[in-house]
Amino acid sequence: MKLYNADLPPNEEDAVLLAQYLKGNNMEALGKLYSKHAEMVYYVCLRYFKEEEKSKDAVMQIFEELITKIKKQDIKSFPKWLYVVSKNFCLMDLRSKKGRIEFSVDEFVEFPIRMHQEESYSEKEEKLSSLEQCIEKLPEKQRVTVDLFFINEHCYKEVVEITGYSMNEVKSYIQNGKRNLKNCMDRADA
Amino acid sequence: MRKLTFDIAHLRKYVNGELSSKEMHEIERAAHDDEMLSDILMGLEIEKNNASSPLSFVDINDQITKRTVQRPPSRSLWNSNLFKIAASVVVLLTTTGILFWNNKNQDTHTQELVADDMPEGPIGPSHDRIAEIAATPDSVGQLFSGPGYRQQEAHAEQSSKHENMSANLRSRKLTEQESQILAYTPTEKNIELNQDIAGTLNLGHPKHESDVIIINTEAQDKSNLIASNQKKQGQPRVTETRVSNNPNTPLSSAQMRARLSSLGLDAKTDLIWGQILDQQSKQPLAGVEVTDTQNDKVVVTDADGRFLYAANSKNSLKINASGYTAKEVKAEGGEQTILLSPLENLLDEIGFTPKAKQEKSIPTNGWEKYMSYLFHEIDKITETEYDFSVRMELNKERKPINVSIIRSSDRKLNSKIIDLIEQGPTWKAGTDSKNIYIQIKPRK
Repeated sequence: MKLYNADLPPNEEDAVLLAQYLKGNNMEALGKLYSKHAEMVYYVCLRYFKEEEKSKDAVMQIFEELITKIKKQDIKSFPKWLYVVSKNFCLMDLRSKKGRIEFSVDEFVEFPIRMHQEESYSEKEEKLSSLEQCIEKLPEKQRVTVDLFFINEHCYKEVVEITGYSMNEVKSYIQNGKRNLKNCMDRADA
Repeated sequence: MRKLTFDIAHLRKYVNGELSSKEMHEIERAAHDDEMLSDILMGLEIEKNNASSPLSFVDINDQITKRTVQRPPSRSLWNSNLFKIAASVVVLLTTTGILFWNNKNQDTHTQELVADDMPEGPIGPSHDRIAEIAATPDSVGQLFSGPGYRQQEAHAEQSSKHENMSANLRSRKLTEQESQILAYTPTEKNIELNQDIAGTLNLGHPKHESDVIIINTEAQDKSNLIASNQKKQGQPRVTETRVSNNPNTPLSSAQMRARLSSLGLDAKTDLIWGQILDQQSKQPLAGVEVTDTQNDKVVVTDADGRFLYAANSKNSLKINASGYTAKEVKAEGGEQTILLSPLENLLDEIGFTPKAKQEKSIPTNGWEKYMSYLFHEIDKITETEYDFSVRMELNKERKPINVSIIRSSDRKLNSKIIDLIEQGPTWKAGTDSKNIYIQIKPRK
């Protein structure tokens, strides 16, 4: 099983622009840096707000926050940092909205900070064998989908075709299978 | 080496189904390890579902450019302390002036003042009244009266004025007149009085020290709304008391109730709230969809598994969580705890089996014999390791038909394997008999 490292290589241009802003308070550098990632910010906002206009406004509001926040932190990967800032902005906004008069009952939704495990299981060879054992122990639906997706590298659509499960079922089996694997691996460690 | 970054254009192609299976898998796989990617994908899916054209970023980039070039000078002006002080002084003087004038003219000009406070537009009949009673810790009571009440309720008019003062000048000591307002803090008697005058009211009694109860008449006509808007503008501080001091602290259910009551829901509205837990572990389940079966409204549980919303009828709630059996429960007012059982238990540790609606097809002689038949036959024709995935159906004679090889470690063996399966043992048909998937890979 191939393991995956999600860390992005540091983008040099980001680093240069960031340094320009931090040293010389160069707003244009900051603007240029932000423009590069504004699209990402927009779609993250859209994911939480579900409204296009509001998300557009949020892009500018987050930029305002950035002007001061960026100086207070030691940023290693700008996109990742920006993502966290954006997500927090959206969650804060959704929470505070609940207290205002104009919100409608439909929007009475608090989005959880998702609880997926992000860490990779391990890169050590010895763990791979226990991982394989854990896969064997999974309930069948999870084992089949996990096998098809992670090991045989089929996309969701193909897994749906192969197994006959619905798209949502496939996603949820894979998610649960992954969590169970993680639990199983933790137990193997202990 | 995998490609680890994806640009938005590429992800949009994914959402639109324009990518190859391999590319799709690449993205899906990466999204498992990257929450940012998964959020962006969800954003793009929302855009697609909203059927809106992709956003043009020219606008946003323009705004960013403008912001970075023009704003600094105006910012420095706003930031200047002198400017702030001057603005504060102007505001303070104006406020004091108005208050002073109000006090002085209270007795003679009461009616005019009230009229000034009211909107110019059509003024509703006597039931157009909004009474708002705030039981904030410092107990500022408010009443807001329409002109229809002048004769009956001169006292209330006075307090509608004083309420301004107490709101604006909380910090100063209460005058004798303002103390009268406190007589309007929400006592049982007071609420009943309002009910008599205004007809049916939405009533609630403060249950919590910082509760804010807002009482509206049922009439939702125009002048009512105008009056309410005007009041909001005039008394920003009072409005603030409706909002929790710290938006980050979780709300008590009483506070939530109070907030919902500010939406003008009628008195019949029931609040349904509860918590959703995993039946086994009793851990709260976040992100679970709770659907009101009557109107298909959906709320999602928060990180503590809690949800709350207002429902106008006692219908059942449908609860959907991935990996758990869907459940339908009767909506009950008040708090309820809902336990969800996982669809499949890991390793069947406690021998719990979910209701088996889906029955899998199995070889008539059992998996073990069936697989050893296959392994045995395949071992005759190859000596290398192999790994095949096969999809097939069962016909009425319970024989495998339409066998196709989905994944093959050796294409030359494909037709042989199909033969082995089609001519091999029969099966016991389950619900999946039109779509059976098997993996043929010897375990070491």
